[in-house]
Amino acid sequence: MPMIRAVSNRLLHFFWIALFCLALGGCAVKWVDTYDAVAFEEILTVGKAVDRFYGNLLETPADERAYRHFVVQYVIIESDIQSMLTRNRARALNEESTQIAESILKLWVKYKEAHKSRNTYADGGAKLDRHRFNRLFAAAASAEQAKKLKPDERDATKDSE
Amino acid sequence: MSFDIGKVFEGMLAASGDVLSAEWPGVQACVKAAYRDELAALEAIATARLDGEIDDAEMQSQLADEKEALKVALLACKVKGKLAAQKAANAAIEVLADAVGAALKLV
Repeated sequence: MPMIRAVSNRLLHFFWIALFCLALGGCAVKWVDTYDAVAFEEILTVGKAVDRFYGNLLETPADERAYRHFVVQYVIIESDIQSMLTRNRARALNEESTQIAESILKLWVKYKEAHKSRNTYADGGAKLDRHRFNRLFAAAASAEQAKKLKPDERDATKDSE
Repeated sequence: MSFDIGKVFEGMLAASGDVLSAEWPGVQACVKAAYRDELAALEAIATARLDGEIDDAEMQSQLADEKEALKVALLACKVKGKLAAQKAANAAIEVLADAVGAALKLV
């Protein structure tokens, strides 16, 4: 019973806030940032670069996978992921996409350091890591794509609360 | 001025409910897909270990990374859930706006 009362109170609270907003000239709630086409393209581009990195690595004979042969690609891709993260951090109402980019960067750096310390990268781990990155970038793209609102929804959310 | 708060409130709840009913299956499907993909990834790790492609230390590291991967997949679903809630709230506000607008025209 107290729970039902609490929910009712919350709904009434929302109702009065909405009425107050209307009195001030109309408003709509906005809890997630709007779709960013540049961010979406960046996810696809960096994801493709990571997949190509693993493709090249797996095509390289295991005894030729010394870290120094891959260091340039590691640095380029790390800075690309960092750019993705910075873009996401700069956007308001974008907590989840920022966390996704942080996770991608964390794992990229982890695998780079492991490659550096072992000075090789075995097929077994590389295949699993490649597949994981594909899923991570797919999740990042899916999160961004979800923010693409229909035209009528876009109008309704042009004002932030 | 004709403005029945109770009736408007019911309309707002109905509008929110309709939107959530339409949006929620998409969020549920996202969560189900996240767990289905996670299961496939865990199977791939187990297979790699059984086939001798990775050792115990690598398997432990892979399992730890899968926690991160599942978190990321669920974060994408969280975005969809928040958007569903946002659409529901805005549908309710639209009902209220229409009711206020109609009442003002009658004044």
